[in-house]
Amino acid sequence: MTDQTPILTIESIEKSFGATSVLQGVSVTLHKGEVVALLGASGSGKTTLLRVAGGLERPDRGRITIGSSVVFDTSSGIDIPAEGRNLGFVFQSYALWPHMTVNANVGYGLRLRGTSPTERETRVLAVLERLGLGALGDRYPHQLSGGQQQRVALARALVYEPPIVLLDEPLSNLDANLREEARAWLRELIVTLRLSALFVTHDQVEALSIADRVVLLNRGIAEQVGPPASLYGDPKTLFAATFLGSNNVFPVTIDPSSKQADRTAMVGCGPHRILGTIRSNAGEAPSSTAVIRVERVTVDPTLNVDKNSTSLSLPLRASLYTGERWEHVFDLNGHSFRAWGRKRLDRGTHTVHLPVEGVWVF
Amino acid sequence: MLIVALLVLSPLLLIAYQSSLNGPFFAESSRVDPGAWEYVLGARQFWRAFGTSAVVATGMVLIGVPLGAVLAFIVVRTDIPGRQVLEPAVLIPIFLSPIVTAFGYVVAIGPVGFISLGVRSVVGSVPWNVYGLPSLIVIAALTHVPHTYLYVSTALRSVNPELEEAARTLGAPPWRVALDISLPLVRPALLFSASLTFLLGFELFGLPLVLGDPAGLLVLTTYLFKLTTLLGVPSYQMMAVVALSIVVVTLPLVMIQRHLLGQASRFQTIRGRGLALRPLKLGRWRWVALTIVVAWLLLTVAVPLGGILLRSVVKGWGEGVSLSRVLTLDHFRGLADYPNLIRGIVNTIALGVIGGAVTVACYLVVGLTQHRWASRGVAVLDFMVLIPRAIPGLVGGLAFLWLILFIPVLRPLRNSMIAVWLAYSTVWLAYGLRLISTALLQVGPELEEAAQSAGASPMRVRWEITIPLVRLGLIGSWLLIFMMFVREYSTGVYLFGAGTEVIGSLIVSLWGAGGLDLIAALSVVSVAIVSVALATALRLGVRLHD
Repeated sequence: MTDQTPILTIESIEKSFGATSVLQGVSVTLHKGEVVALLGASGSGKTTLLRVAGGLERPDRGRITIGSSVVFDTSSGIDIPAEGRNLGFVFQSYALWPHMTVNANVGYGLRLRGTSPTERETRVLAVLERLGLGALGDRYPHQLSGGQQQRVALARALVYEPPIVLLDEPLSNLDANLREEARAWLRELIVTLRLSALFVTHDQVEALSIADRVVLLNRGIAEQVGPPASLYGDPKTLFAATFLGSNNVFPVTIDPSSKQADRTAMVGCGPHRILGTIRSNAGEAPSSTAVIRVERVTVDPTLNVDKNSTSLSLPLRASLYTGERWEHVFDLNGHSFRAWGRKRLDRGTHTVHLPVEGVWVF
Repeated sequence: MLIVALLVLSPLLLIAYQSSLNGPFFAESSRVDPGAWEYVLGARQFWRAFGTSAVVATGMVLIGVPLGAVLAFIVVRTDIPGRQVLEPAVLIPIFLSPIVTAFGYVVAIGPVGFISLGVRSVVGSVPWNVYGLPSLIVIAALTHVPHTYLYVSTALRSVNPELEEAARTLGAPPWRVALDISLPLVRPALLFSASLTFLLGFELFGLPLVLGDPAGLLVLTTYLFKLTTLLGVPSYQMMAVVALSIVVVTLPLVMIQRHLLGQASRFQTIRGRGLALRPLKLGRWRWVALTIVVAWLLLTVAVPLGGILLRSVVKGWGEGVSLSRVLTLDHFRGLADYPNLIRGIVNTIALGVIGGAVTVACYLVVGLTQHRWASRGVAVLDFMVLIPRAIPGLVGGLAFLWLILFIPVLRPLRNSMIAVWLAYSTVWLAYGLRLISTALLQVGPELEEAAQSAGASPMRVRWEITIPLVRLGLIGSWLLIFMMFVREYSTGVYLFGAGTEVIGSLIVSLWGAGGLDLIAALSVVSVAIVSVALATALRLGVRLHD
């Protein structure tokens, strides 16, 4: 499904607004038939990057290639405006034109391309049917529900079959329960229509579940790029590790003498000592940070503290019921340390197990 | 853009050039000579008029700005009864022709006005004089209160009500909340209103012409208007010097306003959006507040309007005359006997309807050029449209007359409504452009970007997305421009002639001839035209301000 032909290449994009530098040399490649998510917190530059790709924002430096043609290049002064890039762009607010019907909204791109009225009608109807909007063509945008508006916006960007679709937070305006449904629906649609899509989101679940590859943006640079599973399971930096998932984060000191060839070492936090895996070069410094995904922590009252140093004995601060499970909050040398369980825990000290490959030291 | 530059700059440059000559600019014998400057700056009457203008403008600021701020606070931020009605009512004076208003005051509280006679029959004398400096200042201040109201109320709407409620919970009564919290928060708007009122004070023409002239009181604009009579011969260079000396005062004021406006908008963006407007509960203060607003409305709207309305349906008025015996509609019938009066009414309406529509179309073209396009050319354009704001209508009209005399191709326009329209459009350029750009800015940028992404060129985006979306805003702008063109008078003073008369100019010439009956009837017609437009605007939900 995904072949290795790049269809969109964004190279070393730099962009600042006044004194604030929003993008500091970001490069992203989208292959044919691939879905790439730009994930980041607000202010990470993800939307700006998408708008740069769409030609709605002019970067200060860099190069953008669509297919085999360069659409932007500061070194040769090329800058094809948005209307010349033949992309599909879905806006966060949907940006449906209130003075046009659904048919007119969706058909507008075809009208601009000189398609005959009869063909236009057929193609608009086809795309509306495909998105489950068949009967709504004569309505105006304000007569539609939020979910319908979102699909009209998508239909408008897809109808002229652009090689690439850019989506800005496509699901953020939907209700929470609708959003979970739309996630699967959107992924399925993109895959069956063999679209190449670049989308922006701040929601990690959205990024991980819809995308083939995720670009994690942090303050204008691509912190890590990779398939969802490697981004979640193999983060390269402290930022990437803590941005995703639910984590226990606490400061540790590395015992240099305990370092092994497989990059495991004993780390200490106050009186507690535990075996961890050193993840980056920054971990060579004596003071480091340990990150443990909450779901990797197990609480087993039947076991005692073992000799392999993969468990800790911690006093329980509180046990909270969150509906789907219990969240236990322990005290780790003044830091709170969380674990999930199926049952309530009694007061007192408990043994928690931390697999060595799950204790990341940065 | 070149056309805008030409329209805006050439009148000003021509006046400057003329002021340095010793004769009319079109005369062969004219030479560069500072004589006109020496003469005017040495004339005691000029300085007296200058002083009067300054006193009037200062008085207007001292009375009008605080009153406007208080009215804005009461109407916008409190639960005063009848808010829905009061909000548009407060703006009425803006749409009334100053000539009509001035005349309304004369027939209501003038020496033989309805109210004056009523008071005299009770007290034995009339304790005021409508002619003269004090009444000119008070009336000018009262009628310019809406300008302060406009800017302060807009700013007040963006103040988070919790800031005021916090003061209430600490024990502050409503008037303390206004003085300590709300009004200080909108200081930029207050400063802007003060400088605007001062500017308008210098540009005042209709009011001093009617209320000051009979008492021998001249302000700069009326001094300019009377210059020909005073000197006995038309003296272009003297007029130019006086005109330029007005602009010397007003131009810096406009620059200051531009600066303040920039500050004010910065002020506003700090605060969040979507604040629920919870009015301040006034409790027993409600009726005090209502009294203040109603008293101002009575003095500023009811007195002059009531005056002309009553005057237009009575034969004559004096002590002991009973109303029922003098009631008549003859004055309105009388209008039909004078072809020039009917023509004036037709001209006024045509200027507003047709001229207004063309003007809005022209402003739209300029507005679309500026729209979301931050180039240096736009900054220059933005700056240039401010210049007409600094040019009082009277001066602008004079400059246009000269331009028409000066440029041979334009000469056929002399004595045509096109010349009047051109002058009006230029003088109202800044106002109209603000209306248009406000409407344009309400179109979400992503609606335009979506069309662009779909492949539409910038021209098509504007034609198919932006313009259809601002349709209602354009109609609203047209109605507002219509009202401004109907009320406008001073701009056309030098351009009106036989065939190009409008209601305002007819009133002034009838005023000289003492035709009170016809003036009253004409004034009512003028008010009626504006009322229809105002009612339509309110009906369509047009915002009367930005």
